[in-house]
Amino acid sequence: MDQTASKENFVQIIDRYQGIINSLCYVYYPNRDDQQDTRQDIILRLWKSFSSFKHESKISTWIYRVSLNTILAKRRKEKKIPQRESLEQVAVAGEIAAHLADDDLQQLKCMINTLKDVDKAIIVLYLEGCEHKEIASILALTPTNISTRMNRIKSKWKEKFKPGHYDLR
Amino acid sequence: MTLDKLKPAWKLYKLESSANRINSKWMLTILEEHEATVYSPMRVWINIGMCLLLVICCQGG
Repeated sequence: MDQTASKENFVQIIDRYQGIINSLCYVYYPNRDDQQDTRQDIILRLWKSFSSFKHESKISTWIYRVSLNTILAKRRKEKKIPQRESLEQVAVAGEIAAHLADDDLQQLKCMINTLKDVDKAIIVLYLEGCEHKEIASILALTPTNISTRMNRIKSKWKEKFKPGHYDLR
Repeated sequence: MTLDKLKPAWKLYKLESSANRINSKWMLTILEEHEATVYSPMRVWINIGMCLLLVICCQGG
């Protein structure tokens, strides 16, 4: 396949699966400019790895893997730069807002915002319908580790959010 | 599995995130801009050749 055909094929694939990239950027970056920058980074990383993608895994799995690796690496770099507001302060603000939020969507946003980066990825992949084994493969963790982390997330949410609303057991 | 109760809200979350869609033209522009800045060994050899030619010419050889 020549370079132009390959590029067109790549653009078609990304166009079809762009929901994955959009939702991941939206989860990690509330600011629209940051979302745009991150989408650009992800697209370039996907393009660089496109020629070596052998279709051994599903296209969606490949996109999740590359996108999450890009985002998590970017977030690690950003954490080295001092922020105006600490992450703990943001988490506390999120928890307070969650208690006040009546709307399911707002509550979900607040719940996700209280999680650490890797835990956010686990929850997003779970809500997308991935099995523990697939989540483990995307995040280069073990299925046992995924189960443990999910149990911790559920306990944390059960402790902190409206009792009875989601009935997290 | 009670986390499944969050799935309808997740669908709304995804819908909200899809408001700002990726444009195919924008994607192509990014790829082309990236290619223009990528290191090319061919371009390096052409530049070395030009440089040598200039040195030889300026020395009167």
